Amino acid sequence: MSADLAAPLWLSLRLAGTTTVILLVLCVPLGWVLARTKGRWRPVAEAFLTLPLVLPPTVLGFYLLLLLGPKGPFAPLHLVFSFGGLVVGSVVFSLPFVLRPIQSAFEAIPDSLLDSAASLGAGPWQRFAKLAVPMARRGIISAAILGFAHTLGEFGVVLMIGGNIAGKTRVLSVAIFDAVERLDYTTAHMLSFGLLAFSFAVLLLLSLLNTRRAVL
Amino acid sequence: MRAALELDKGAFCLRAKAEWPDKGMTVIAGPSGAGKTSFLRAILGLERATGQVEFNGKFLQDAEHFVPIHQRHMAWVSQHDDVFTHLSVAENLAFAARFAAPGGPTLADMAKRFGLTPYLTQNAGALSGGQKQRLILARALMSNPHLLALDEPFGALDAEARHELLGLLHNYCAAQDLPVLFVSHDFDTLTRLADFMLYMKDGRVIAQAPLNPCLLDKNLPYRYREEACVVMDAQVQGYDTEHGLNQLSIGSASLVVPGAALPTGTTVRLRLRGGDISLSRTRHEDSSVLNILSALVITVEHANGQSALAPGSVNVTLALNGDPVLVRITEKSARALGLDAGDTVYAQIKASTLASR
Repeated sequence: MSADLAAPLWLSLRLAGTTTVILLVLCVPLGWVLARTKGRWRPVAEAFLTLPLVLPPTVLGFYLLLLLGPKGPFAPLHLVFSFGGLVVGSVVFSLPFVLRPIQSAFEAIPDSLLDSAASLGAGPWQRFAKLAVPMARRGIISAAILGFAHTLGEFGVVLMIGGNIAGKTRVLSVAIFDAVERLDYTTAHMLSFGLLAFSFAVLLLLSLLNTRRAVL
Repeated sequence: MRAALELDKGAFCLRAKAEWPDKGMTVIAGPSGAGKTSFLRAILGLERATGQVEFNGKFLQDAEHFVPIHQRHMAWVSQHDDVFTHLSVAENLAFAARFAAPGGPTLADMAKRFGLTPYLTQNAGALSGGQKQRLILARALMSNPHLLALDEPFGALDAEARHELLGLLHNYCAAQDLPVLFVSHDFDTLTRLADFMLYMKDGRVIAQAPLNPCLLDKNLPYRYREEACVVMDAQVQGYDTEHGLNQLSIGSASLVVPGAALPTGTTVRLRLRGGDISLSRTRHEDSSVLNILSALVITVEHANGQSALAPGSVNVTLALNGDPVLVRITEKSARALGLDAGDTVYAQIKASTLASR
């Protein structure tokens, strides 16, 4: 495979991997808090955290660019047109895809079960770590796969924040766009079909995960 | 134990205040919607109610303090199958044992007692409904609690399985001197288990007394039910192998109960149903009823349209060996016998209907 193909692929996998890890660290506690609180601010928080699901990626990208750009509050971090900027953008963009399945998995655990555990002497941390997380593991795995695949396929946010710098911010989807612009349909085909096959494999895995409950 | 708790839940309002023994079995009874489960959950600290909870001379909750549930040592068994489905049966029990104060039961002993030994390595989610209930109860006891709290215990099980599990529960808690507080509207369960009753209505505790006074209380529904009864503790004196009869004594009175031999010297609970006792002025030696005891009539309550007593029925309260016993007869019989307070009568108690736990 030429470096032309390998570099964007490797970059995309690194971006998706980093994003997924960060999102899991964020969303497991966040999903737990959202699933267990009945406060008035919960709907507001939920609506806000679901925004990336409905907004065009360009809108997100635009605001992130303003925040991270030279005149924004996070300018000293030099995140625009860098891998770090891509990670920030991807984390925001894929957040609902990871948060939602984790939150639903936590919501599926009955209150009475957690109350029973508490009455046996299990404190809040033990209930979370020893019961909730292991019981929600299927949802957490689904969320990770979904987040990974979604990040691989993103385009708009990446282009807005990262631009199109070979080896630095030119991920798979941008490389495809680039190849099509150059009328290099061979490269476009190889990349596109690769992404399509990979995405199908991921969704198949997810569906198997959800039907064969005994596997996990 | 004492609790005075208030909780507003929209349409429902809990204003419950009660005091009950630190020992034995206490039932929270009452019609559905009375707030039984809410009161139990508030006592445990599972619901954040305002007020006080005092147990073993210590305040678990008052104006300044609130001991959270995981520090109260009060094991709760809900109405649901709350097994930890990601763990094996043994791991479920071990989960509770991690938090137990020293001196608690061993896992092997508890598994054996509740018939779980063959399933220890099995996933807890794969157990049958009855096995899950056993596991949840065993798990609660594994935490070596100071109080066991049960919400409608084993209501989903069939009568036979429920009776067996209630028997196991009673024997264990009596041997360990572990107090039990449970919610039940099931008459059979509460007469089997309870020593003391808190009766709730519309979010308030309207009666709190030992079981028999509650069963006889004119403000409570029990004495007017068709299955109205009182319970009595009897000592097992021996067994008549030829006739298959257990010989029991209640104070100076003796009774026989058919069935498998009960261990001599133990105490069993008898349920004396009002409808299973008949009265006569003279001793009928030719009756099929084996237990004929002399008793004093204390009160005669006629159906008057005001009480919940069915028309044509009479509740006669007798003193049997000093303890009140309820007898349900017809108005016609009461007139024929000319029953009045102070009369001496013979009570014929159908032995086959006496139930031990």
